[in-house]
Amino acid sequence: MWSHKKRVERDLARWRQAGWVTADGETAIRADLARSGGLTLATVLSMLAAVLLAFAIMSFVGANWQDMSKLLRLGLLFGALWGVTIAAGAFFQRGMDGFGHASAMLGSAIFGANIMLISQMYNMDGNAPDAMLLWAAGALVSGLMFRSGPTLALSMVLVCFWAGWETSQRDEVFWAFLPAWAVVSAGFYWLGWRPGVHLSGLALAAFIIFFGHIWHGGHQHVIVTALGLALIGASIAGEKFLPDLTALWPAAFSYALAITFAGLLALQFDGNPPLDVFTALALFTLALMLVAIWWGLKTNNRGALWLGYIGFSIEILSVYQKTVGSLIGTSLFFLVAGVIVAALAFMAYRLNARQHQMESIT
Amino acid sequence: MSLSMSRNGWIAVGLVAALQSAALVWMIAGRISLLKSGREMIVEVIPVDPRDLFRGEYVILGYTFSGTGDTTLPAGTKRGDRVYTTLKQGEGSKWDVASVTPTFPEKVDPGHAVLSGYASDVWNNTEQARVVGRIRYGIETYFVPEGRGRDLETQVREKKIEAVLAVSSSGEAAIKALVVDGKRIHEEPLF
Repeated sequence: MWSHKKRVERDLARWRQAGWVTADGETAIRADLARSGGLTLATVLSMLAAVLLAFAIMSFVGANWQDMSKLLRLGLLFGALWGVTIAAGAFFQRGMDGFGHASAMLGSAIFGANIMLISQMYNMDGNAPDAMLLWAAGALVSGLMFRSGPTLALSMVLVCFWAGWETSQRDEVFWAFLPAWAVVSAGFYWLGWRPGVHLSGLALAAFIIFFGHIWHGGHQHVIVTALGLALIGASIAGEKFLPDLTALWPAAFSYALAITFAGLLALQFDGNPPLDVFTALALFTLALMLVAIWWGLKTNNRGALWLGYIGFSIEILSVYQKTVGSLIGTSLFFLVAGVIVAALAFMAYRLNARQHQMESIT
Repeated sequence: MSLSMSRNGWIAVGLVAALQSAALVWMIAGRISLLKSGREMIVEVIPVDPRDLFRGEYVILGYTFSGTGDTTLPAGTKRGDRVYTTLKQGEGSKWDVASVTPTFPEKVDPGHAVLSGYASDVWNNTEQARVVGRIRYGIETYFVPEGRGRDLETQVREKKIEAVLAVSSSGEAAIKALVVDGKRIHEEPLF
């Protein structure tokens, strides 16, 4: 929200100079910007005050918890839940969306705390991930009802914890993650909340990478790599044929690239492939990272650009670590390193030329 | 976001708070009905770590039927799978495993009890070609009031501990109270 405001202010000055916006119009737009929320010092300070007060109340309740009757404790838990939820509604109604989102999230956090405290009060010691899923569902309902992206994000994080916990208890792929992921992701899409779409991408990428390590005893990295490459292809095709979804494709490309890279890395270093296979994989990985950097520059996809650079560096370091010590390995490493440095030099040249070009345009 | 229409906004508030509250009430109601109407059985407790039984605010409890590596699980049982343990009463409050099945047994001997649990650890006994493991029933921890742990620890040392369980017809179990030397301690009120 902040960066949007800054950007509009910068553009406003330019538009005003160009004569597209009248002085009255500019004042009106500025007033509207100021009204539409955003973080002000007063907002930040009052949020901090709310956090401090919450801590004061929590420690007071905590200190007297044992002396309260069960009924009083339950009353407190439900009272807190209703109080904060009503506060969220009141903030949203007054257009104080920042406070509204914070209260909605706090309400869902209290819902989770209530689940745990009730479990403790009644000595419920069942399957702990079930409690996590219930919590995620509560946050999902709140996120959808209040149309609150941050609350939905809490739900997605909880879904991930739930799936991770279940996976660690079972040693097998936890497929139930996918429908839960899809429901929360659909929520993000419905809200059109961009950070949420990124969170979805991150969660799915992590699931696919873990899948390669777990499914049928692990070592399914060929599938992970193939899936990643297919997703890269889909994101490039999507950008071409469905360009309306502008926010989706560059992000999808980056996550697909991360999946592919993780798969390739595992193929090379998890297990012990023969040297010729290893060499082919290493060269393919390096080439793919170069392509990603080129694509990132071409399409102004900064995520892909940085992932390409990082992947490139990790790959070189990993190859070095693995091959150094054996004679043929070391010579291979220097060969690869030579190719890489040459490629980097070429890229730097291109980057430079491109910047010059951009500067001459503006 | 904007809940521009005020009526819809308050409906959202009501639905969120009501649905979340309903989930919590459902948790509590299920537990209270189990404690109230479940079949009561008194079982012997094996202290898991006798020197530090009351660590902080809760007790970790083990049972003769928790499976310590010699309990045969159904073939093909994986970690995290649900299992049903049929118990037969031994001496006093000692209950022993009669059988472990992947589904609720169709016929239960009146003197037997069935607990539902899940396999928390599974390993293959290759010598005897069978699957053995450990089972959790959700009755392995019991919370005690803060600060009472140490006091109880000295009380409990070298004494016989039993747990009073309430068991539902589907095998779900809950701890009603702890019994030390035949005396009930910490029977929690329902509300």
